Amino acid sequence: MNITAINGSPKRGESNSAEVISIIRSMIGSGHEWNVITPGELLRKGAAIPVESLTDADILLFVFPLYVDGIPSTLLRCTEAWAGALAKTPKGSKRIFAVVNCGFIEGVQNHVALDMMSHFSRAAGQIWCGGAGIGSGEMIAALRNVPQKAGIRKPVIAALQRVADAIRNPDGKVVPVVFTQHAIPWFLYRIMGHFGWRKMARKNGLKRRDLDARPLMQPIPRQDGNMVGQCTVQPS
Amino acid sequence: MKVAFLYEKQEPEAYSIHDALVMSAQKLGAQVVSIDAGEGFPKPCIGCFRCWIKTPGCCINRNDSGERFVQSVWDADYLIFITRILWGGYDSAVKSFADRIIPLLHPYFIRVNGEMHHKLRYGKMPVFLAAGFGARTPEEEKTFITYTNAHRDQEGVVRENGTFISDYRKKGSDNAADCAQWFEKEIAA
Repeated sequence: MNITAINGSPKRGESNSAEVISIIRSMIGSGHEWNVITPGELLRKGAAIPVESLTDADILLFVFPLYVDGIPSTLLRCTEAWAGALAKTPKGSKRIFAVVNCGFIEGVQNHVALDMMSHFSRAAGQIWCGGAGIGSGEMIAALRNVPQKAGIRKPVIAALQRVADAIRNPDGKVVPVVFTQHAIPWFLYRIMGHFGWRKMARKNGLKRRDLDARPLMQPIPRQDGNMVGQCTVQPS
Repeated sequence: MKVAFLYEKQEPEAYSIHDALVMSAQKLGAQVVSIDAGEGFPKPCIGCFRCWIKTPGCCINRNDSGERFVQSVWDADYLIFITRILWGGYDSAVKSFADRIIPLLHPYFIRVNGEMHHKLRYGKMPVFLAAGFGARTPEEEKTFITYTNAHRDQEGVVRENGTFISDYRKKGSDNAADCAQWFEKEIAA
């Protein structure tokens, strides 16, 4: 099989989406031709967005983070062109899967983005094969060195295994899509998240209260001469 | 009352809806700010989180249309997205602005309507309303409603009719008039 994975993360360097692709790739095993493209990186470099990598593939695997409840704009821009190109290839010749991850703990928060990918697949004239919505996405790469059998990773690894199995099986689908997250309680995830943000801020020379900055409280001149910043709420 | 519009001027339907809504807003005595998403594409959000952990509240991309958009959003009581519906969401030009909104959020998590969300940096956010057109299928329209509801509920704001979808069977001017009527009702709600 010829598999093209689209890493839709606009992030520079390592990303959770890249880790998801790597996990699924290792689950599927050898004997397949893989092609991974990262539109965010290509757009940043001003490079052309490849179309042949998609039109020549048998399987398209979209993996991306949830951005403001939907598809990141960098990836969205590409999908418009891709849908047109894919629609010119034989109808139903490609199977499309998607794995969306978000920083919130609930995997189900990715449901709209996955619905969007199903609409894209339909417009492209190809087969929507579903996929997975993963919550607590920030932990995907962070737990890279923890064994996949570890309890905390189990639900996410099981969901990715379902996607990998469906890709391997010529008639495989994960429809309805599966939603899951790491096995961690809500309150603990929240505490760890806040701790993580504070740690990163400290590394940048900030104090804890600096995270609460409200820079727009200072009036800012607008192009039309009026001021932005007439908010009545006082800074904390 | 301050109303901000995000739309693409070059899209004829967006242009006529925008014109009708601006007239309605002015009739209601609102101050209006319009942002043309087609002009001055903002640099995309790259998920670096510097607006949370390095320069809290300020994006790394300074002095571009995205930053001006964030200032207008912060200053507004209502933000109206006027967009062609793409896969059930905003089109890519409008989405590139919507993605830049995260400096208005705080990294900390809170629970809203049973789901995890980010705390609001300024303790407030304008009410997000959306007017969409050009969906390919009824399913895309349904997703657009779900999507805009999810986008709107940052602080638990629920608007049963906060999204308007143009009827493809009607003329552009009739849709604009219907949209203006919907908008006035939502502002009065």
